[in-house]
Amino acid sequence: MKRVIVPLLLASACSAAPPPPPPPPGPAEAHAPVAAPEATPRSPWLDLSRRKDKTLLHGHDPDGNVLYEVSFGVSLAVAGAPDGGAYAVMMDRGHSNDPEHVVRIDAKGHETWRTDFKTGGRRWSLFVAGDRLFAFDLGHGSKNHLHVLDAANGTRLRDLDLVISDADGRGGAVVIADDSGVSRLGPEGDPIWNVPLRRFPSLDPSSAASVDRKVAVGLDGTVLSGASDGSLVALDPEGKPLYQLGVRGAVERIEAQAGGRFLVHTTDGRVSVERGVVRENAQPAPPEGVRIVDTREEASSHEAPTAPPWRPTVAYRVEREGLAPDKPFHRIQSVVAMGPQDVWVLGQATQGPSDEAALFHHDGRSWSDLGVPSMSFPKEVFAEGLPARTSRFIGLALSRSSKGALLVLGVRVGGAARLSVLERDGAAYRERKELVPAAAKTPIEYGSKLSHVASAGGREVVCSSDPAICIEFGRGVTPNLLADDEGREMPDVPGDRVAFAGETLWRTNGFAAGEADVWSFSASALTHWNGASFVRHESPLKGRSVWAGARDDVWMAGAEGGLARFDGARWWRVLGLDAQEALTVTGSGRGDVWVYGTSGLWHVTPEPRAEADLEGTTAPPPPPAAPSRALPLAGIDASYRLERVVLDLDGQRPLRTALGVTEGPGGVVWLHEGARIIEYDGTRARLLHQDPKPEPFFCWYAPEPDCNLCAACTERKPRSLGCQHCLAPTAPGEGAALAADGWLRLQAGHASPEPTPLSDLLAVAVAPSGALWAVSASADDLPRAMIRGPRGLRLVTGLPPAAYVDVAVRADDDAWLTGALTTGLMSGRAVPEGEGTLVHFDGRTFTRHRAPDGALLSVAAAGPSEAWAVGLSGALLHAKGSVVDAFHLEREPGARLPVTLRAVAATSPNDVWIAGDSSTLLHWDGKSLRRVDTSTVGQEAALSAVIAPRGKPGWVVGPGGIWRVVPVR
Amino acid sequence: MANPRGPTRPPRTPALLLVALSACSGSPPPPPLPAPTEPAPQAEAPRAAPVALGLLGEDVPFVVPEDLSAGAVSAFAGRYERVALPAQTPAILDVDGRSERDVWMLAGDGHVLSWDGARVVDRGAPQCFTDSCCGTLVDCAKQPAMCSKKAIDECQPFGPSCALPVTWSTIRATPDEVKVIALVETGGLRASVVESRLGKKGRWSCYQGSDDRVHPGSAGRGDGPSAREIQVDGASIRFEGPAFLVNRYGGHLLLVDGRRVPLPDDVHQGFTGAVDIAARSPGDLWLWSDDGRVWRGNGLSWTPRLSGLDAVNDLWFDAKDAAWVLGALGEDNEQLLRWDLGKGGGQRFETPGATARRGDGRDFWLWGPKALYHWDGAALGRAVPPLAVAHAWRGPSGELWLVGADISAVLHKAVENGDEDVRAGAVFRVWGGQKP
Repeated sequence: MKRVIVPLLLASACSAAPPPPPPPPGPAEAHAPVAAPEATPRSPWLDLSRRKDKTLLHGHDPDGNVLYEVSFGVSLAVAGAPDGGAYAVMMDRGHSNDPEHVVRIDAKGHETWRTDFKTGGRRWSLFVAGDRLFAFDLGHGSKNHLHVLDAANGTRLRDLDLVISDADGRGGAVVIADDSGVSRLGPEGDPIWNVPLRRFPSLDPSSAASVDRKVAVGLDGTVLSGASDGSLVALDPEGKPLYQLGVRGAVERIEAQAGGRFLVHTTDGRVSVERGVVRENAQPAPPEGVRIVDTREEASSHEAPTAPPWRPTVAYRVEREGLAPDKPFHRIQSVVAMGPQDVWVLGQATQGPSDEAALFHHDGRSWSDLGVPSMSFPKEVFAEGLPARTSRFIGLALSRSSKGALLVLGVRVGGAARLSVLERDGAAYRERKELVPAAAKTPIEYGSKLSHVASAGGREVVCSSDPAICIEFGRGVTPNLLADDEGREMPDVPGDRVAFAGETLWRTNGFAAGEADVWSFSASALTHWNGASFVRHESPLKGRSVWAGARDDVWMAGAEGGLARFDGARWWRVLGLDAQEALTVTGSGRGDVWVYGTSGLWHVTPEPRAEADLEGTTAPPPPPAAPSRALPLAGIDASYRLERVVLDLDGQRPLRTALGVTEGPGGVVWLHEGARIIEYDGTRARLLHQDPKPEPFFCWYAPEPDCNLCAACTERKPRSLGCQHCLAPTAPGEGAALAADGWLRLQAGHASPEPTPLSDLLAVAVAPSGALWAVSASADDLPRAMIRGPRGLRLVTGLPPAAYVDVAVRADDDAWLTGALTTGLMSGRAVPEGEGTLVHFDGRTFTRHRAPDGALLSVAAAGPSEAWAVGLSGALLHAKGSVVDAFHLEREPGARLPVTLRAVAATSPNDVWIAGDSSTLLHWDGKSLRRVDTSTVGQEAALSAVIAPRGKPGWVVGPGGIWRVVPVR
Repeated sequence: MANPRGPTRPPRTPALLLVALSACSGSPPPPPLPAPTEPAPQAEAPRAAPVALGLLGEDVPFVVPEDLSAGAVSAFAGRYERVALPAQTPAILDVDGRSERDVWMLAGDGHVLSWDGARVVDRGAPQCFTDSCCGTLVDCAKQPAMCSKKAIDECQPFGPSCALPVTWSTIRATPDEVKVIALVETGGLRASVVESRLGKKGRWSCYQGSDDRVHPGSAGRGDGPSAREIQVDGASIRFEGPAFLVNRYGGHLLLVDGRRVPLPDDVHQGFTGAVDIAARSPGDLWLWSDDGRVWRGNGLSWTPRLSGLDAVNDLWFDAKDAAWVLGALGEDNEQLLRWDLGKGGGQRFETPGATARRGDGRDFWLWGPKALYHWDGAALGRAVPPLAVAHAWRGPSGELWLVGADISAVLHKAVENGDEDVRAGAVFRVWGGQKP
């Protein structure tokens, strides 16, 4: 045994880390006996149900036998009485001016007393504590009321005005929460104790204004409080702290559960918390005691089917299209893909006030602008009942005739609006005259959607949505209005559009590839006609459009963005289109898919360099972290001084400031100042990339029906650069960078944008293998990391969900990722919020560690399985193997130094450099943490990135300048 | 082999651990363990010691009230020199200049006056007309009937289309031109801007401003965002306000050398009142709003700073590492704050009536309709100006021009109820100390 211990001790002792903190607070070992509620394994219970406009309350004995039934008008709150009876806040009819009553129902269902309240709100909570009934009237925004009643007779003993965000009571304990903390109330409604609580530190100075604290009392008397940043604090019944935790998302509700557990509902889902142990995917288990089963809302919640999983994939590349890389299309109305080299688009090349769409053509290589489709019409009668007059054409959609010609569907406008179809003939257009007599009979409304289908046999149908009519025309067909019941229908599918399956006309919103291959969709499902039967497949997104390249290549675009591919068995989530508005999908065949909508046009093609996901195992959530310990600052490290530098650039203004600096192989250094990326090879600097000049910001009047003062605006650019670690040089002039508009690939000194499957990428780093790791802080449910290796792109799965802002890769099996559990939004950028998190990947498993002082912003690998991370409020985390120690800086003994630490770099466990706000530059030499003199920087400067000196001067940069870290000889 | 936590008592470790620790360098000895807690003196189960959780305690406010001492305000020791105006000149509305020998003023009757270093000369009264509907400039050369005296006298706002004379409110003298400006409100959704520029031959010409007067039904683009440009420490800073198209859109945007700097969320969204910026360097940025809020930014993040004021009108710096804030705490309670950025603290000066500033941190004037203050670099002096001040202009030498109305001289008494007396114009040159 000793032979094992000695190496372990050596390894541990040689790590030049600061001392470990005390062990984390353990689970609640003992609780004050004063308030622990009594366990009642078998108790009476209540159920609430709805019948018409009445609320029914049933009392049950422990065996489930109904004791009584009581009918209320509207029940606002119910609490069980120990005898099997109940207390309730109710209204007779639910009218806004009706008074509320608190009533007592005894175990036989008789009302024994009633107390009226004339000015109550619509949200109440009731708790019984001994001989008191606490009635919280919470329906008045932040100002609420507490009425303390005598539980025996309903006498109002006390009325209090409160500013609270939540209240709960159980086992005789009643607690309230407000933004500043939690209080337990005594029998008269006065606080017995108050515990001030705060949120985790935040990058957003306004975040403290939105605490929205929740609270619950557990069966063992434990009080658990949560806030909008996912912070949880547990207190014992006397208000003594037990532990703190972070969960992902804002805490919306906390429920006491059986066995002393809590079910914590957050914006990200729900977890169970029991004595500091967090379990995900928790199921509710109501606690014993006088339980209330409320089935009033169950009917509607049971209707929603479970959406099938759709696994993210990078097997498809999504590229935004436009006349030029920096001039994407907007407001695309229609796309007809006749072949990979023959794609027609109706839409706009620029944003701005325009009500006419232009036609564009793609020949497989580039786009050409063919102008607004139009033709001159003679003065003629085109609208029945009106005299002959001139008219102009407004194109609304594209289609393909049965002969393969491009059709432009639109309206002729001139004192009236009538459906019209133009056929493109060379560079000119001709009107499909045969439609005019039929179209002249029906006025078309503003905003009507037009669609058209053609069969191989020459039959064609054009439809409008308002009014909902279809006209059949084509070869051998006398144009006529289709009867409403003409055409086959799909079960449970809207039949507002048409499709030809062979020569069979279908009333469907979907797509037909042949007589026995028709696809349609409803809100939650995809339905396929296979020639014999309808097969329903639940869909993972709310569909808006479907198109199929084959039976195993079905594409669905979402009404709220998103693109899914169904291979006949499984759904795949095609990444890159999740944040868009309603989308429509079409294509020319397998491997050539086009997606469009008001926000643009995208071409979706197979990604030849897609690799299989890197699938790691997720370790269980860690226990609560121990409180951090102070790490004193031991004076000034006089071994180094700072020298300000300005990098001259040929033909450019010099580089005076930088937000990021990263050293690549061979000593090449990249710097970025936000809009420019510069490479410095030790002797000269050169520009690698400069963001294009942004389009001017402007708004235009964009009237909508019933809106006389609506406006639309261009996107305000440039976007904020959100990345924490934006540069990843792999060689001189080679590598990758995160810019304001996304991922840049740098080759031979030139940058070009590349689409990325993940959004909100905030850091990129190079592994020794040359692979580029990037991490995301997005709030969505996609993977949070990806790797661009020499062979292609792969997603990283198994990484615990969090807002990751930095990554350090020492080896493919020794990577560190850091950030915070929750994603916040500040000035339109994703930022880490809540409890800090540090994750280690050992090649198999992602192991998460908690940072008790808030978000971590930077991580550096200091040695094998060893890392330092730094973050908000002077927080530092040192991890070596599975041992993690949390520290914080101190201004003076006992006084915390809450400075934001933004960057850490390490060359070894004994050489760690930390930079941050207030001109903070610190050096850990394995013995002590000391300041480096930054008097040349100024007092309040932010230092955002650092490169440790190692045989040559290091770098430290910030928005106020660039400095070399020079050893003093 | 120092301990990062400072001197500690000798560790009580097993010998094996001591051997292990001495086997390498650079690693600290084990930390002192927290003193064992005394068992709770009660009969029930022992209770764990309270845990010092990081989330316990009050929120540490970002906004720390400044501890400012009362600043002394002495009597103003400067000199006033009246500038003679042509007879019957009514109150002066605005003043601007290019040098102490090239000062331009706009009188209440629309006349433009100029000072050439020796005397004031009347440069005529530019006359322009806009249609009564929409504030669109009328070309009187093409529509003489609209511009006849009879037609103009009979023209009423909101009536049938006719020509209304433009009333000027602002004068600007730039190196290239002198112009007067009017904002023509006709009751529509947007005001129209009309300008008259002085030509080389001394004639005034009318121009429609760049406002595109967007009304429902048109497809206009509205006004783009206005911007403040600052050059500091080799960096170019651009602070853009919202775009206007009936309403405000887009919030604010801050660019430093082309990089978009995230703003406090309220400013980013445009949820604040008017916001302005000052900068000491690209890494030391200051924002303030007319609802009293101040933020200091380091180029990456912002920290709110409590001014204690309901409104902030201006913020600027001096060379002594101080920020000056001019604002108000309620009506008629203007205050001047001096924040010492190096040492903390500062002064709070009572400056009732002071609403605007001319000058810089070294030497500045504060003024309002009935107030004048001067900071000479060391002390703040107060004076009662000898006129009702409408505007002020500070020349390159530091002298101040105050324009407005003579307090005592009335040119025309008000005839009807609701009218005001027409007061005589008054202009004074003021020096902080001795006349240069």
